[in-house]
Amino acid sequence: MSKILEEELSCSPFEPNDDILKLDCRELDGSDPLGVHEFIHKYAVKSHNSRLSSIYVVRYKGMIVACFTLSMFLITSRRLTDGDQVKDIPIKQYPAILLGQMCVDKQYRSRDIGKYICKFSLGLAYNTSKRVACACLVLHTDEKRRDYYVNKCGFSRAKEEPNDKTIWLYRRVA
Amino acid sequence: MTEKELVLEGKDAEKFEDDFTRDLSIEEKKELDEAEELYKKNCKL
Repeated sequence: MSKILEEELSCSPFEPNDDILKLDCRELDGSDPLGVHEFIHKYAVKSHNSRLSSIYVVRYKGMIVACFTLSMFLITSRRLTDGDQVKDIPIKQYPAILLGQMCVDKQYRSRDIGKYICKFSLGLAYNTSKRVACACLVLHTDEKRRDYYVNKCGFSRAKEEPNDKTIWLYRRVA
Repeated sequence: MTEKELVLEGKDAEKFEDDFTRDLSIEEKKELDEAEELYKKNCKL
């Protein structure tokens, strides 16, 4: 399937008449490993309205083909584990923006819409960092998508979660 | 629901903090400028 060019896509904050419930965020086998489909269909609008996360919608030829959320995030870094904490080693905190709940409709996958979303979010995070402290853009995904985000979107590994086979990735904006 | 904090410890923390001690490369800065351009151009805020 051919890639969709950046120029053919647009992105805007969610509006009440944007029908994101038509999006099918599940895997081809119908599973929903990261819970994105469930989130979009059950909680997204409520979460957006209460400002717990902000939904953005992506359009292609006037149709909504993807959506994602952005929210404030914090990375806390401790060089030593809790038991080993010593006074000389400070805990560092890095304000960030979390790119979460990314859903590209089944019909539009493998056309680089994910790359567009990452680039847009990176631009938003970078722009924000000029006015509000923000050190990086963070993404939480599963292991099988890791190579795509690292190799095509420039993210670096932050931490693996072996229990659910997910991985945290980040990209610096400062 | 979405988590709002990531805690890094041990080697993960070390690697992450070390990455923030370096200057961004010219290529990385260029990519940030391009991404910001895309954001400004496409987002109808």
